[in-house]
Amino acid sequence: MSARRRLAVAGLLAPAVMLLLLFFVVPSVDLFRLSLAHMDAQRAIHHDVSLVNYRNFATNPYFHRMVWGSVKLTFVVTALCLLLGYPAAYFMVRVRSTVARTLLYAIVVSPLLISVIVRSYGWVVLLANNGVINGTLLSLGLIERPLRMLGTFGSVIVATVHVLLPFMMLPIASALQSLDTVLERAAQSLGASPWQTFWRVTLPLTMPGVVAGTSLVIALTLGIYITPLLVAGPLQPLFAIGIYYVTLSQLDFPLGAALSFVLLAFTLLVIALAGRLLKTVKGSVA
Amino acid sequence: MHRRLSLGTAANVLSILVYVFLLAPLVVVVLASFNSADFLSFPPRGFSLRWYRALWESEVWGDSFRLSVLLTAVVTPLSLLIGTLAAYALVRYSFPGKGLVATLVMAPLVMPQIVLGIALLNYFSLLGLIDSLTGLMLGHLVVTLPFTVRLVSISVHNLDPALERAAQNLGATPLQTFWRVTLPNVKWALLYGVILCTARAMGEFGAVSVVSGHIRGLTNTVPLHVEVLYNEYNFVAAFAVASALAVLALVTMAAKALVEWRSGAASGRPA
Repeated sequence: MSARRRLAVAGLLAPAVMLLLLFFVVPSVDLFRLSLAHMDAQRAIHHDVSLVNYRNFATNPYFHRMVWGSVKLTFVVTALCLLLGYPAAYFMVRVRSTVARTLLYAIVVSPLLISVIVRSYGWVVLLANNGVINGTLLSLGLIERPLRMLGTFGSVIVATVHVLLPFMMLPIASALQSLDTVLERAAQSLGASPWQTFWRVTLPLTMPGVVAGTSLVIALTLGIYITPLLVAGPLQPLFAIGIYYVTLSQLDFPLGAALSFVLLAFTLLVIALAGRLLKTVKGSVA
Repeated sequence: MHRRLSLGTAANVLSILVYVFLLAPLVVVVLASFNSADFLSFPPRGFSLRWYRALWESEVWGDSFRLSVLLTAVVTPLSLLIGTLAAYALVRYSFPGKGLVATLVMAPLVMPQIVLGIALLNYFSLLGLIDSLTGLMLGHLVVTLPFTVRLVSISVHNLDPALERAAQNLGATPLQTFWRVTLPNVKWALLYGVILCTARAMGEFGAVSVVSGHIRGLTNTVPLHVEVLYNEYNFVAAFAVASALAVLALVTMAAKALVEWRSGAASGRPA
């Protein structure tokens, strides 16, 4: 590479790299440094290096319950997103009318454009004791008093699936779009049933989209906090909500920093594992 | 043939239900904001625009709206400029450490928002940027950058490099080539980026809500204002602001559809 070219690359990348180094990497490193400090009973922060906060996390059952809650949520939400998202993405890509396709696409990308706070409050309106669903059931005489839905783990699942479904559907839709339909027709004309065609042609060939969507949904569910906070309050046993509570209510920054790093490590680990696992699956099917 | 129909029908019914599910909460927020009662109730007590009138007359709403607009006006062009330059370098050149830079640029996307929020809160408090407009802008910039880089990358990737080489062979300088060949060809991606960035910056709540001190008129953006209203049990007013945000999103979506339709027409492909 010539010196001029190198200069050009450096010049093009400098603003982005500087911005991220100064306001993403350095803050993260400093947060790690803070996680090694600790706060005493008088709320004074001591900066001598220790693993007190990490030990606290490892031994405190309160945090274990939150991790378990997040793992449970991640498992259920990812499975639901996959089961609901794949057929819906297929429907969108294969629908004949261009108008319908554009409309469905707009519905799927809308979460990227609509504030998460609007969507979360939508679930509050639907699920509240005096909300739309309870109101309808009451006026139909199907129930005698409102069902408690808001604040339950179920409501967290529903709202989280709603927020994250597009992140599953968009990569799958783009994989389906680049799939040549001739392959499916060939399988069918050779006598494969629709189910066989799907299982042995369509699904294996769209696996990269499934891999991308699944790992994104897993990573985002592990760290989700606004949606559960708004529909179910700060007492839900979820890891990210625990971090929020420890840091911004109890103001124990060192402990919050340590928990942040545990969450970050979990997220990276799960992304790596999921990618690996699904790639093996892909290899064995194709 | 019978089995094929039933399997297909079941999948189609499920898909339509999924789209209803995606749309339902957005529709009800808008409907709930027209409720004349002071509290959330269903069926609604009556139709009323009084919460919108209250919004219109409230200074706090005006402050948060002006703040969000100012923020967007600064963040969107900056994010696009920085993102376009980086995307161009990442797609067109190979250099040592390219994988690392590509990962770094996408990293804010998978970083848990609460972690990024706390990291920035801690860092800004050291720099004295806490509860400041600058801090808010920097936070938004970090959050929107991965989106711009990804959008522009796809577009530059699809652009035939032979066009740029041809321009250079004909004596154009790299800057002229970029300005007169590359840029006109990625202009729809840039416009799309403007829309997506605007939507993100106007609606961003995640990491930024941790950094903002919720100071009215100074750091309380529109989405943060919605939460304040809600926490003050001012439900219908909160839904009115939320639905104003939703309407804004509908406008951006219409703009996006228009851009896609135009770009399809411009490149001779069906949209």
